[in-house]
Amino acid sequence: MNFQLTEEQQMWRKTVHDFSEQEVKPRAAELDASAEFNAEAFQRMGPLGLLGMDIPEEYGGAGVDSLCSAIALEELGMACGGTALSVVAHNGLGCAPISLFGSEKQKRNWLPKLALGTDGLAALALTEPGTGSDLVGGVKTRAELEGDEWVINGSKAWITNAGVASLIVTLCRTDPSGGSRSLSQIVVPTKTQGLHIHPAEKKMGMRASPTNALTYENVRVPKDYLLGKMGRGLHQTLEILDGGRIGIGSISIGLAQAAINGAIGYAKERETFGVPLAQHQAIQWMIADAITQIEAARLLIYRAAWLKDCGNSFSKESAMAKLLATEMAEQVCRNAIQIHGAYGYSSEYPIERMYRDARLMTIGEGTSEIQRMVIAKRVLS
Amino acid sequence: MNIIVCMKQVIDLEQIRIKPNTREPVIEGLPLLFGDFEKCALEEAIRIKEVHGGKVTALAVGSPKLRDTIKEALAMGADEAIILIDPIFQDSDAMGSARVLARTIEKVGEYDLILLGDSSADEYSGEIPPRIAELLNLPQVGFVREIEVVADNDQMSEPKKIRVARDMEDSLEVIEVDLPAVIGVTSELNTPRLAPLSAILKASRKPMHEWRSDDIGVTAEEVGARASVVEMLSNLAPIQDRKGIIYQDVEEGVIEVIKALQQEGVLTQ
Repeated sequence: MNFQLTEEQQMWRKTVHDFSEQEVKPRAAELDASAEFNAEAFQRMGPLGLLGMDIPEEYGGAGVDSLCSAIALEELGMACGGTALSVVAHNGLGCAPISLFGSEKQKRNWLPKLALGTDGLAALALTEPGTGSDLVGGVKTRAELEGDEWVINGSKAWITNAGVASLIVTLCRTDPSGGSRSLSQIVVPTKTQGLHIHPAEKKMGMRASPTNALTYENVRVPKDYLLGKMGRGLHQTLEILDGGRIGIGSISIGLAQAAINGAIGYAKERETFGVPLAQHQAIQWMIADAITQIEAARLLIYRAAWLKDCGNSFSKESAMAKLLATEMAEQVCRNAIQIHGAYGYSSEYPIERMYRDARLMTIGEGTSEIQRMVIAKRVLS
Repeated sequence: MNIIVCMKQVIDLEQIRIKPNTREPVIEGLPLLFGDFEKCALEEAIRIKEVHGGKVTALAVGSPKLRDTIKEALAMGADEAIILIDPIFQDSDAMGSARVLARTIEKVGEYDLILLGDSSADEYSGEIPPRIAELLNLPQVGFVREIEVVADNDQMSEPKKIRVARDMEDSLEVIEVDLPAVIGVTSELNTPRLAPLSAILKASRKPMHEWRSDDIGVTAEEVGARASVVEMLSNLAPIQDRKGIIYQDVEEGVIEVIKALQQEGVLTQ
């Protein structure tokens, strides 16, 4: 057993760290306030490999292992949660289904541009106004074959990156009789007539990452824009979500690490009762607990990533990692505010932003409750 | 154009702590990395190669940790690397280090340009570029912040000259130099690129040669601690003498602080 990152992984961490310090962190507060997407940083991410982490090398991607992705997302999460969220949604949700299930022609057609981000990012549309995790029974967006075209009608909600995407992988019901084999994934370019992308949602956190509702009104795409197999949309989606959990957990670790780093710095400087905060046992315990929880979550995330890279089943492990990492991040950010006192509650310090960002992590890509269901199902089956 | 870039592995300066009682820097166990000047030199070499073709060789002397550190140079775009690791190189003074580098460059043989940081980020002695130039009998320019390859009239032939701008603090001196030459660069030269992930993963597949003293024909009489004529007497942090002036009254404080800043030349009258 070896817990040491390879030299390449360490170098990659430093590269993403330096990039985040230069391009992402300095604008995090401003973009959170204005709810703007950091387009300049994304332009620079393509050549670095950050937009092709789930794309094989032969299609212009970086073709890296999950551990390298986890490391990158952790570093981006430390700098700006919203920016990291758009990166993970692009890679893990938008590009991954094309890489995993796309035909040779589809991969050649879409992946090289997505790896550079030149035409926009990728998004995955699952959730609907009335349906979250209950995809089998709930998805109402339907696609019907008319000649050589799919005609899509319906609506989607809470779609990360839709406003900055060039294409959206859309989960549609292709068999009206229902059941687990009635759903399919279809690629919809955002320029397609009839696709309406609504203004970005007003959110509590993750504000630098656009989230939009979508309406599909007789949206027509070629028949061969079907991704993978007809009727396998649910299975393909669940496979994608297993990997996505590792990404969300990684961002949570970044948020928690940034928050506690800020709190440690503050605790060493700020004095109360004649001594620095850091000399009070109450504060020391909060810091010790936080560091311990972050490390535990990090190990679970890295292990889930390692299992995925080995080709082993990792569904339970990624659910456990996401559950622990996201709940931990909320708790650590909460305590980091506590250590800062009133200043932690002020937008003058970045901690309150991290707390707001961390709040989404226990909801997006499967709530904590869904993670517990996944874990329990695997344990009890 | 074949370019050799000499790179020094230095401790991460941002992580040095100073012991408050003794003023000694704590440097044990700190990560080793390439300094900014070295990376600027490598970046420039890669840019020149991208336009004019040729090969970039990264060259470094140091500890076994160099086997890992050098991958960053390969990931950034060096075509191959030569690392020199031998206990007898340890504790060389600037002359010893320059001798190791010069002998290695002689052994490599084919080169048009030697680029390196004008000084190293840790010791900042600035001795290596002129010493290498002297040992190899080559022209040398230091404090270089701009490099331009002078195109030959015959486009097909290799460039024979470069034009460099040397930083003289209050002016820039532009000099044309015949190749091969040794150029010491400053960090104003460029912004080094971040290595893309795919290049990082491929770095260890690029050729990396590890040479010892026998390979370049140097002995313990010429390099290392025995040959060193420079002795470090102290490396303590300077004494910080804070005046500790506290103004209780804000109005008076602002006026006094402005006055003090004007006296120090920070603010103009």
